[in-house]
Amino acid sequence: MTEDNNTNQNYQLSFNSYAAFDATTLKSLMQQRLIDGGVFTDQIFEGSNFNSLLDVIAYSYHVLLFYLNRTANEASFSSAQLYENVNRIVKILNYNPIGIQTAVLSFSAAAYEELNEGIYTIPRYSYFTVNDTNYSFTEDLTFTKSFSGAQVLNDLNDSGLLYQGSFVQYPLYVATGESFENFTIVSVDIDGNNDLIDHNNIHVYIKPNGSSWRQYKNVNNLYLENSLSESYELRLNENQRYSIRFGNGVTGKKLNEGDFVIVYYLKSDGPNGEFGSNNLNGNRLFLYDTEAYQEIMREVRAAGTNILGSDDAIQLNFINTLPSSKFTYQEDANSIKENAKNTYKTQYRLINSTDFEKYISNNFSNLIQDVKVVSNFDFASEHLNYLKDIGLSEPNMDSRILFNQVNFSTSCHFNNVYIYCIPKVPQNDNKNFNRFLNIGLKTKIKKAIDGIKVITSEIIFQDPVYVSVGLGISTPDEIDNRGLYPEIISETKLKIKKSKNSFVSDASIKENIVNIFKVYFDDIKLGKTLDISFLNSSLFKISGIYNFSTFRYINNQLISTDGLSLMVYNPIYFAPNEDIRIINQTLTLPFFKSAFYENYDVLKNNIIIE
Amino acid sequence: MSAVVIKNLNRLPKKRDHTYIDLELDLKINYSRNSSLNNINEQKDIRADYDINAIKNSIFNIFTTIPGQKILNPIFGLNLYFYLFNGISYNNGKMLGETILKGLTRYEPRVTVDNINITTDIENQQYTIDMILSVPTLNIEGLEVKGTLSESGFYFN
Repeated sequence: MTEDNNTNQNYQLSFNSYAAFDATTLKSLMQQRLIDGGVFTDQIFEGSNFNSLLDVIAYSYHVLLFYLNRTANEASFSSAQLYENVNRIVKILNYNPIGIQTAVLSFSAAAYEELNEGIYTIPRYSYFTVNDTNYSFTEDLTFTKSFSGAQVLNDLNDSGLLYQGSFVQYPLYVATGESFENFTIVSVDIDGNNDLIDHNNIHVYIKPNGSSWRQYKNVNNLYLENSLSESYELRLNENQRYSIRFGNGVTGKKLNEGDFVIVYYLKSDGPNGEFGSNNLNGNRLFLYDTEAYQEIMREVRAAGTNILGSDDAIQLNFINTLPSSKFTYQEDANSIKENAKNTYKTQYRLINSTDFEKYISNNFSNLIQDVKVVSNFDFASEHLNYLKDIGLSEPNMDSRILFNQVNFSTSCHFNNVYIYCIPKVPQNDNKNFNRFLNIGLKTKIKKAIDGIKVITSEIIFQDPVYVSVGLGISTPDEIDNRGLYPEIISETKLKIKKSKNSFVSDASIKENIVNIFKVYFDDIKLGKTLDISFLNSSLFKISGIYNFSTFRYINNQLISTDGLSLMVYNPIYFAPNEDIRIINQTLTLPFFKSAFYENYDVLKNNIIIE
Repeated sequence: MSAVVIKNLNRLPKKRDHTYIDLELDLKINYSRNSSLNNINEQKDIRADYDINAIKNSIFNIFTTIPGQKILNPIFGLNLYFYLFNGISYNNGKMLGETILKGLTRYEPRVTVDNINITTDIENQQYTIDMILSVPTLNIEGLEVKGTLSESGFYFN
């Protein structure tokens, strides 16, 4: 059988034809080449040994080619799909994927009269435990008890937030002293799954050999730091564990051999840790206490800080009238790809409004529902102009605008960047709609932005203008002469004509209608388009509805229109015919406005089914 | 090293000593010619099965492959062990014979089956398969191929 055969070395294949083969076609090729070679004959018979051998070779090739294709795809930014690979690829772009963000709770605090007057600091990592769920303070919070009686602690309420979870002290790490020293937090449950560590609450403390403890700061890029910068890079790696990287003495301070490293991180309970309103009420604040913690805090804190003791802590009363925000999962592969290119484009610099909006929505996704960022010109020409149009002689004196100017504005009034945010913390009810970011959250976001924004741009927060929506219909005479008024909403009714032979109950139809409104309006956004056509078509999809119309009686005279008719108005600055209108089609709100449905109970009561 | 190929020079068809040539598994070396003075010229070749032995390979593979085992042809093979599992009986033996006839007709076109005789051996829990085959391309008629199917597998006697 052995013979020299030059024909066998001429494969007659193009250089890239390997990619065109699968197992079957490769087997055919091998069979054909064996036939051409003329040495063996039995490869064409399914039962032969040779045929079985070709099967194995062809299938192995097929599997290898599959892996080749997969790895080739997963190696490039544009085609990678797996989280692990996308995470690794974006490392080249210096993008740090965002991990889970725990639920956040705002609260109201008051001090009993037994607490002496003075300035107190609630130590970081102090916590509440309610039904095995912890909520913790992530930083030292200072408040003033200014008089002897019971006192509402407004400065604490304005600046403080509780984060779901409890702080965990990671075992002591002793540095080896190598450049860019790196270590990974491995924290797993009994099943080997990674614990949920809040992305924004990992704190690193270093005790250089023979010196005192220092708190290092988290930076996006060590290469931008100087040789003495006490900083580290934190990265959620492809295994969804956090790795901490220190400098090399040129970019970022280098750890020396024998330096101690202690990490505290906030371990979240995930969605199970979300709180309803009033869960916190009356619960006691516990102080975090370990030997290492006491030693670190003694050396890290400014001298003379009056730390709240356990005896003082029981003189504080905390309540939460609002439920917590929702737990936010980590970025998925698609989100990483989207954000990585944006971050690379801006290089962690915030230049235009999209940069600001993306940065805030990504990094504060557990706090912020929606955000809009506008220039000074847009703010003045639209928001201030709107306030002027509705009758404010001095728009700057509007309480919310003044409030934000006082807290955030500098004396310079040009080059401001105005940020409008809707917080994620839900409302208890829609009757007193005041979904505004508190000062604490605003300050937190401002601090994060200040280091990366354009130096000449000053950040000023603005609160959205919420407009109220309800059923509403009117006559031209009313609109032109007499003026619209909010009570039209309670006077207007929705008449539903049921389909013949429908077995759906009236109560069920009413419930479905209210649910459609809830889903539509609970997706609260700035500059939202109120699309009546969409609502109309959604109502038509409800089983049992044949037709519907909106109607109202004015002086015993019926006015009616097919489909939905809504009224939109500003519930704060209401005056007849000022920012109040009837809409039958589509209304796009300006960037500073958002809409909420005024009262679902009234809606339900005003649905009449025939 | 690239080869020089002159396409116009058609190769003459090789003259073979055998009609059917199959690999012998487990891929043993047939011969090794090696000069002790010059190791570089060592020649080796793989062992092959020829003609009727090549056909026997095929029959053995057909009998011992369970459908699904051959990755690129999942319907290939006969599940003969099924008839062992169902118990040794005259009826099962008859069905076994019919299955073999169908399988050989379908997967081994080189042979024609003249007769299949299945003998049941209840005591040893085995079937003896006695086949009379013809191989027209080899001018062979009335070739008797005997095998045993038992719990240890199928083997030619």
